Amino acid sequence: MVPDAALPFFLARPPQASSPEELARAARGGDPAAFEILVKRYERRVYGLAHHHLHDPDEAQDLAQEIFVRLYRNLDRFDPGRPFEPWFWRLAANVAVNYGRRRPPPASDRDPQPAAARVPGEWLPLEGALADLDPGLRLPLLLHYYLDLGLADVATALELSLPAVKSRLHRGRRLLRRALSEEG
Amino acid sequence: MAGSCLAVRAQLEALVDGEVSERTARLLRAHLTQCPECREHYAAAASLPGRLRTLGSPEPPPTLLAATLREVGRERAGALQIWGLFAAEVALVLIAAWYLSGLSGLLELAGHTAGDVGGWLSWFGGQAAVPAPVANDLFLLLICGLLVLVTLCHLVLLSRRGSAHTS
Repeated sequence: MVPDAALPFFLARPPQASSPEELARAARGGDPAAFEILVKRYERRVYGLAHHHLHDPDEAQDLAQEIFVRLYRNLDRFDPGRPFEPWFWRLAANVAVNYGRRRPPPASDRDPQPAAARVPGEWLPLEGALADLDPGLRLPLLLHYYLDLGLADVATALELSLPAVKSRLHRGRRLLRRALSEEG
Repeated sequence: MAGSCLAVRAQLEALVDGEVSERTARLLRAHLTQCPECREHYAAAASLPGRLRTLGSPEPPPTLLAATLREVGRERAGALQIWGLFAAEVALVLIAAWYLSGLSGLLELAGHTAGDVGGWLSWFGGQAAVPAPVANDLFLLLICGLLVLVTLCHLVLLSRRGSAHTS
């Protein structure tokens, strides 16, 4: 049994098992511990998105950090009555799109060597082929398949129509398939 | 590779997603039963969504959490600073309002100011001694000066925060 004196401690710190909606609500109310748990819970997937999108460890960390800072700034816009994840991934996608627009052209545009040849040796062929894909095709693939975002959410995040998202997914997968079959 | 193979391979993703008409799907499947190469492409097309779903998630750098919390802490401190300045502005406005005490206070202040200006003009023209400043007016001037200063700081902070949010 938890002694009475320790109760405030347990009440003050949001448990790790809290739902993301509860954590977001607590973080919105100014609870830094709740925000920290949210970051810990999503950092792997957020960093994964950034890593597969930018294929540069430093830039990926920068983008991942920006996504979390933007989450903190926008917490008051989150409706706790709705699921947290679609809202959060839309926001993350938005930040990723704008990050891509803001940064200088990728090295692959200046460097004739394909990104797949520059990425670390432990990368899978699929990761290399993905890195070589145009960002406009790569991001919808990452959002829909890697992050499991619904087509409508991808469309909203990327400000595209649903048919445009489907078309980009098909095109992206077709190019990946070709690249992989050429490698194989 | 036959031209029909090219046409078939261009539609494999749509076939996997069930986004071709029944007739087209029948034609594509008929081709696949006869063409082992296109069948290989179909297998690759069918497996790609699953492979993308299970793409590895690299370990985030250990500094990510600390750097994020530091940045958010700075944001929080910035917000407190902005609200703190707002509180100071409200307090200064209330002091000035209380000091002016409505229309009569304003008229009194206008009268004092006119008297002060007249006194200074007379002193400048050599017709009178240096006018003694009214302590109340000096105090009000100080409050107004402080208010302008705090408001300027507030505006600078807000504009910096605004540009950080939009960048």
